Amino acid sequence: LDLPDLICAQLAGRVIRAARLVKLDFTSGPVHLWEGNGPLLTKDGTRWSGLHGLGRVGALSQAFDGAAPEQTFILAGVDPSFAAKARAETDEYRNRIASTYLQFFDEDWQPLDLPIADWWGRMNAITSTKQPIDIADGGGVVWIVSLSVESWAATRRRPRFGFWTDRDQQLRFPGDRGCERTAGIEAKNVTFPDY
Amino acid sequence: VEDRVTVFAFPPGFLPASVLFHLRPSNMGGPQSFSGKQQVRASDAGSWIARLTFDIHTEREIREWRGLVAGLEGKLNELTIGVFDDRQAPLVVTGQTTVGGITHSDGSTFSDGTGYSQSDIRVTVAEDAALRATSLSVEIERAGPLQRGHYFSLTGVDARPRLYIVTSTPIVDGDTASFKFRPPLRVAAAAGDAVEFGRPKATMNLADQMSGQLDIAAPWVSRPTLELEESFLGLA
Repeated sequence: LDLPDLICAQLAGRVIRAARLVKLDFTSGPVHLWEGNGPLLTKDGTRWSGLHGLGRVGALSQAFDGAAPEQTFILAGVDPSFAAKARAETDEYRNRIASTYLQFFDEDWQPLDLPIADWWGRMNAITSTKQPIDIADGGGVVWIVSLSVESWAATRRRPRFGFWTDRDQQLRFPGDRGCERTAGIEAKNVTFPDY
Repeated sequence: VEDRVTVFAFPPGFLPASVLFHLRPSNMGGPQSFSGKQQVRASDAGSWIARLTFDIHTEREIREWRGLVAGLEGKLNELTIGVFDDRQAPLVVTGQTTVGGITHSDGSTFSDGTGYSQSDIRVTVAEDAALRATSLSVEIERAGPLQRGHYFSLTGVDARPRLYIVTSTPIVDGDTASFKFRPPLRVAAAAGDAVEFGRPKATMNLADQMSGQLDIAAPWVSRPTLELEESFLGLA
């Protein structure tokens, strides 16, 4: 990451004022969330809704050695719009982009520079669970919605769309026979002209 | 965001035996070094929590208390409650936060002989302040000297008072004063909005479902406690 000087100075200091922002790009429109109290207006004009500590982002891990770590976003005590999304059609979120940002603040809690995008992935599944609260702590249940997000490396092993195969060619140009024989020509000597 | 909770006003006439208002920080510690020093990471400026204990004796107090706590329904509903800080407030006349007996414009009073009552400290916002601002410039119409540590509240368009505290020594220039405060403004404030220094209030909800229980022991004395936390309007 290439960080502005002011942020580098803060990172080297004793106190770091930084909040995590999460953007979930649902089909019906993006949802902007941040972990603090009340709405936050960043310098790019985006309004982020405050989670008041209700949400949690699992530790972000870097994808290396071919692994595709899955990321989980958790929201406890749920806003009705999220519960609706959890029950909605998978089209609403499946394979849509979720990205996380860091927003640094100065000593007066004013945003320092723009939010820094540090991770993105594709939303995979939304599940909701009910967790009972001990009666001594007031009883009742807490709804927890968790959203799993696959990192960019998740589909790396799948054959790409650009192989010179007949199947791929038929998909792009139905009826075209240009790649009809590609399956058989690997390591084959074609004699031409053949007379 | 549509508001689907009932907001109760804390009934008048109660005097707390102890009051604790605290701006709970939302900091996280970094890894601890060998010397015990730690980096601190803060995600936001924190939010209010409060613990208030009351001595309750009279029949009226017992009834009011029971009614209030039952109405709050655990963490469901909200409560606007003062900080019971008259002694430290920037009063003009000692012990007087409000003035009563104000008549209608024609000099008449209400049928029971009382008039309007209003705060004896009158301060307004001098310049528009944006959402999450942490400094404010105010116009003082009538107030004692403003100081660091004074509580004040601003009531947004949604009629919810929100509590703030002055954190820097105010710079006074004639009738205006400017100071820093915490937490950052929950809603933007416009010039001319009233800044309540006399009887600041906060919109809170119970922090604990079991809080506020009234255990009446003979001879009808009890000392219930309210554990409160700053309320918020969903993911607004």
